Amino acid sequence: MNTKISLTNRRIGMTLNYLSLAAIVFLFEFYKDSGFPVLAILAISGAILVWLISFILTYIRTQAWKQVHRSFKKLDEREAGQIYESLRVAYGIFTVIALAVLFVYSLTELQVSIIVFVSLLYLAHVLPASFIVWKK
Amino acid sequence: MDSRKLYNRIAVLRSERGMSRKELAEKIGVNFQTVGYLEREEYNPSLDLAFRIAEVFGLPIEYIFSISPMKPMSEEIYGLKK
Repeated sequence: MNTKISLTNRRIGMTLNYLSLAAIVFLFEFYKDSGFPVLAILAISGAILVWLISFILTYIRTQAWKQVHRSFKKLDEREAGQIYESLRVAYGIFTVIALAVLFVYSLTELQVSIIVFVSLLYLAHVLPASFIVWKK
Repeated sequence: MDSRKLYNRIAVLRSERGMSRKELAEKIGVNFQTVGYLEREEYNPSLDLAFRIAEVFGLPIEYIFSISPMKPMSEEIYGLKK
Protein backbone atom coordinates (compact mmCIF):
# COMPACT_ATOMS: atom_id res chain seq x y z
CA MET A 1 0.00 0.00 0.00
CA ASN A 2 1.15 3.54 -0.77
CA THR A 3 1.78 5.18 2.60
CA LYS A 4 2.69 8.67 1.34
CA ILE A 5 -0.64 9.91 2.70
CA SER A 6 -0.31 10.09 6.48
CA LEU A 7 -2.26 7.76 8.74
CA THR A 8 -4.25 10.66 10.23
CA ASN A 9 -5.24 11.94 6.78
CA ARG A 10 -6.22 8.44 5.68
CA ARG A 11 -8.38 8.01 8.76
CA ILE A 12 -10.01 11.42 8.22
CA GLY A 13 -10.66 10.50 4.57
CA MET A 14 -12.20 7.20 5.59
CA THR A 15 -14.46 8.87 8.18
CA LEU A 16 -15.56 11.48 5.62
CA ASN A 17 -16.28 8.71 3.13
CA TYR A 18 -18.57 6.86 5.53
CA LEU A 19 -20.25 10.06 6.76
CA SER A 20 -20.96 11.22 3.21
CA LEU A 21 -22.32 7.78 2.31
CA ALA A 22 -24.63 7.89 5.35
CA ALA A 23 -25.71 11.42 4.34
CA ILE A 24 -26.51 10.29 0.77
CA VAL A 25 -28.64 7.39 2.04
CA PHE A 26 -30.37 9.49 4.71
CA LEU A 27 -31.18 12.40 2.35
CA PHE A 28 -32.41 10.07 -0.36
CA GLU A 29 -34.61 8.08 2.03
CA PHE A 30 -35.95 11.27 3.65
CA TYR A 31 -36.91 13.02 0.43
CA LYS A 32 -37.88 10.08 -1.81
CA ASP A 33 -41.60 10.26 -0.98
CA SER A 34 -41.92 14.04 -0.87
CA GLY A 35 -40.05 14.75 -4.08
CA PHE A 36 -36.60 16.33 -4.17
CA PRO A 37 -36.53 20.09 -3.50
CA VAL A 38 -33.60 22.06 -4.93
CA LEU A 39 -31.94 22.25 -1.50
CA ALA A 40 -32.09 18.44 -1.13
CA ILE A 41 -30.63 17.92 -4.62
CA LEU A 42 -27.81 20.34 -3.76
CA ALA A 43 -27.15 18.56 -0.44
CA ILE A 44 -27.15 15.12 -2.12
CA SER A 45 -24.84 16.39 -4.88
CA GLY A 46 -22.47 17.83 -2.25
CA ALA A 47 -22.48 14.55 -0.33
CA ILE A 48 -21.77 12.59 -3.55
CA LEU A 49 -18.86 14.94 -4.32
CA VAL A 50 -17.38 14.50 -0.82
CA TRP A 51 -17.89 10.73 -1.08
CA LEU A 52 -16.16 10.56 -4.49
CA ILE A 53 -13.18 12.75 -3.52
CA SER A 54 -12.65 10.95 -0.20
CA PHE A 55 -12.93 7.59 -1.97
CA ILE A 56 -10.26 8.50 -4.54
CA LEU A 57 -7.90 9.98 -1.94
CA THR A 58 -8.38 7.29 0.70
CA TYR A 59 -8.76 4.08 -1.27
CA ILE A 60 -7.47 4.64 -4.82
CA ARG A 61 -4.40 6.79 -4.20
CA THR A 62 -3.27 4.60 -1.29
CA GLN A 63 -3.82 1.51 -3.49
CA ALA A 64 -5.74 -0.14 -0.63
CA TRP A 65 -8.69 -0.85 -2.96
CA LYS A 66 -6.37 -2.46 -5.52
CA GLN A 67 -4.64 -4.52 -2.84
CA VAL A 68 -7.79 -6.10 -1.42
CA HIS A 69 -9.15 -6.85 -4.89
CA ARG A 70 -5.92 -8.42 -6.17
CA SER A 71 -5.79 -12.16 -6.82
CA PHE A 72 -4.45 -14.16 -3.84
CA LYS A 73 -1.86 -15.73 -6.15
CA LYS A 74 -0.24 -12.34 -6.70
CA LEU A 75 0.18 -11.61 -2.98
CA ASP A 76 3.17 -12.59 -0.89
CA GLU A 77 2.67 -14.34 2.44
CA ARG A 78 2.58 -11.13 4.54
CA GLU A 79 0.08 -9.44 2.22
CA ALA A 80 -2.05 -12.60 2.06
CA GLY A 81 -2.15 -12.72 5.88
CA GLN A 82 -3.10 -9.06 6.00
CA ILE A 83 -5.89 -9.47 3.43
CA TYR A 84 -7.18 -12.56 5.23
CA GLU A 85 -7.38 -10.60 8.50
CA SER A 86 -9.09 -7.63 6.81
CA LEU A 87 -11.66 -9.90 5.11
CA ARG A 88 -12.36 -11.69 8.40
CA VAL A 89 -13.01 -8.43 10.27
CA ALA A 90 -14.95 -6.90 7.36
CA TYR A 91 -17.20 -9.97 7.11
CA GLY A 92 -18.14 -9.67 10.80
CA ILE A 93 -18.84 -5.93 10.59
CA PHE A 94 -20.76 -6.19 7.32
CA THR A 95 -22.98 -9.00 8.63
CA VAL A 96 -23.96 -6.96 11.69
CA ILE A 97 -24.65 -3.80 9.61
CA ALA A 98 -26.64 -5.66 6.92
CA LEU A 99 -28.75 -7.52 9.49
CA ALA A 100 -29.36 -4.32 11.47
CA VAL A 101 -30.49 -2.48 8.30
CA LEU A 102 -32.81 -5.35 7.31
CA PHE A 103 -34.17 -5.49 10.86
CA VAL A 104 -34.95 -1.75 10.93
CA TYR A 105 -36.60 -1.94 7.50
CA SER A 106 -38.74 -4.90 8.54
CA LEU A 107 -39.79 -3.12 11.76
CA THR A 108 -40.76 0.06 9.92
CA GLU A 109 -42.31 -1.95 7.06
CA LEU A 110 -40.35 0.08 4.53
CA GLN A 111 -39.03 -1.26 1.26
CA VAL A 112 -35.27 -1.48 0.78
CA SER A 113 -34.49 1.15 -1.85
CA ILE A 114 -31.92 0.83 -4.60
CA ILE A 115 -29.72 3.40 -2.80
CA VAL A 116 -29.61 1.26 0.36
CA PHE A 117 -28.88 -1.83 -1.72
CA VAL A 118 -26.04 -0.13 -3.63
CA SER A 119 -24.66 1.32 -0.38
CA LEU A 120 -24.55 -2.14 1.20
CA LEU A 121 -22.86 -3.50 -1.91
CA TYR A 122 -20.29 -0.69 -1.74
CA LEU A 123 -19.81 -1.33 1.99
CA ALA A 124 -19.13 -5.03 1.37
CA HIS A 125 -16.31 -4.06 -1.03
CA VAL A 126 -14.87 -1.13 0.88
CA LEU A 127 -14.77 -2.57 4.42
CA PRO A 128 -11.69 -4.79 3.89
CA ALA A 129 -9.84 -1.83 2.34
CA SER A 130 -10.95 0.34 5.27
CA PHE A 131 -9.38 -2.11 7.70
CA ILE A 132 -6.05 -1.79 5.88
CA VAL A 133 -6.30 2.00 5.59
CA TRP A 134 -7.09 2.31 9.31
CA LYS A 135 -4.48 -0.11 10.63
CA LYS A 136 -1.38 0.47 8.49
CA MET B 1 -1.68 -18.08 19.49
CA ASP B 2 0.78 -15.20 19.82
CA SER B 3 4.01 -15.91 18.00
CA ARG B 4 7.39 -15.00 19.47
CA LYS B 5 9.33 -12.08 18.10
CA LEU B 6 12.08 -13.13 15.72
CA TYR B 7 15.27 -11.08 15.49
CA ASN B 8 17.26 -11.01 12.27
CA ARG B 9 20.30 -9.62 10.45
CA ILE B 10 18.64 -9.06 7.08
CA ALA B 11 19.30 -5.30 6.99
CA VAL B 12 23.03 -5.70 7.77
CA LEU B 13 23.52 -8.58 5.33
CA ARG B 14 21.66 -6.80 2.55
CA SER B 15 23.64 -3.62 3.09
CA GLU B 16 26.95 -5.58 3.13
CA ARG B 17 26.11 -7.02 -0.26
CA GLY B 18 25.07 -3.64 -1.66
CA MET B 19 21.62 -4.97 -2.44
CA SER B 20 18.52 -2.78 -2.59
CA ARG B 21 15.29 -3.85 -0.91
CA LYS B 22 13.75 -4.28 -4.32
CA GLU B 23 16.56 -6.57 -5.50
CA LEU B 24 16.29 -8.74 -2.39
CA ALA B 25 12.49 -8.79 -2.70
CA GLU B 26 12.76 -10.05 -6.31
CA LYS B 27 15.19 -12.78 -5.30
CA ILE B 28 13.01 -14.10 -2.48
CA GLY B 29 9.72 -13.53 -4.32
CA VAL B 30 7.97 -10.98 -2.10
CA ASN B 31 6.84 -7.36 -2.33
CA PHE B 32 9.66 -4.90 -1.49
CA GLN B 33 7.55 -3.54 1.38
CA THR B 34 7.65 -6.99 2.96
CA VAL B 35 11.47 -6.74 3.08
CA GLY B 36 11.03 -3.52 5.08
CA TYR B 37 8.67 -5.28 7.49
CA LEU B 38 11.19 -8.14 7.88
CA GLU B 39 14.10 -5.76 8.49
CA ARG B 40 12.17 -3.82 11.11
CA GLU B 41 11.26 -7.17 12.71
CA GLU B 42 7.57 -6.32 12.41
CA TYR B 43 6.82 -9.54 10.56
CA ASN B 44 7.96 -13.12 11.21
CA PRO B 45 8.63 -14.97 7.95
CA SER B 46 7.39 -18.49 7.25
CA LEU B 47 9.97 -21.27 7.34
CA ASP B 48 9.94 -21.38 3.53
CA LEU B 49 10.65 -17.64 3.25
CA ALA B 50 13.35 -17.83 5.94
CA PHE B 51 15.10 -20.60 3.95
CA ARG B 52 14.85 -18.56 0.75
CA ILE B 53 16.50 -15.61 2.53
CA ALA B 54 19.24 -17.89 3.88
CA GLU B 55 19.84 -19.24 0.35
CA VAL B 56 20.18 -15.73 -1.10
CA PHE B 57 22.77 -14.77 1.53
CA GLY B 58 24.44 -18.18 1.42
CA LEU B 59 24.40 -18.48 5.20
CA PRO B 60 22.92 -20.91 7.71
CA ILE B 61 19.42 -19.93 8.81
CA GLU B 62 20.44 -19.68 12.49
CA TYR B 63 23.01 -17.02 11.56
CA ILE B 64 20.27 -14.79 10.12
CA PHE B 65 17.36 -15.43 12.51
CA SER B 66 17.23 -15.77 16.26
CA ILE B 67 14.67 -15.77 19.05
CA SER B 68 16.95 -13.58 21.20
CA PRO B 69 18.41 -10.16 20.28
CA MET B 70 21.44 -10.62 18.04
CA LYS B 71 24.91 -9.36 18.88
CA PRO B 72 26.59 -7.06 16.35
CA MET B 73 28.47 -9.13 13.77
CA SER B 74 31.80 -7.45 14.62
CA GLU B 75 31.40 -8.49 18.25
CA GLU B 76 30.63 -12.06 17.25
CA ILE B 77 33.61 -12.28 14.88
CA TYR B 78 35.93 -10.73 17.49
CA GLY B 79 34.57 -13.19 20.06
CA LEU B 80 35.37 -16.09 17.73
CA LYS B 81 38.97 -14.88 17.18
CA LYS B 82 39.54 -14.60 20.92
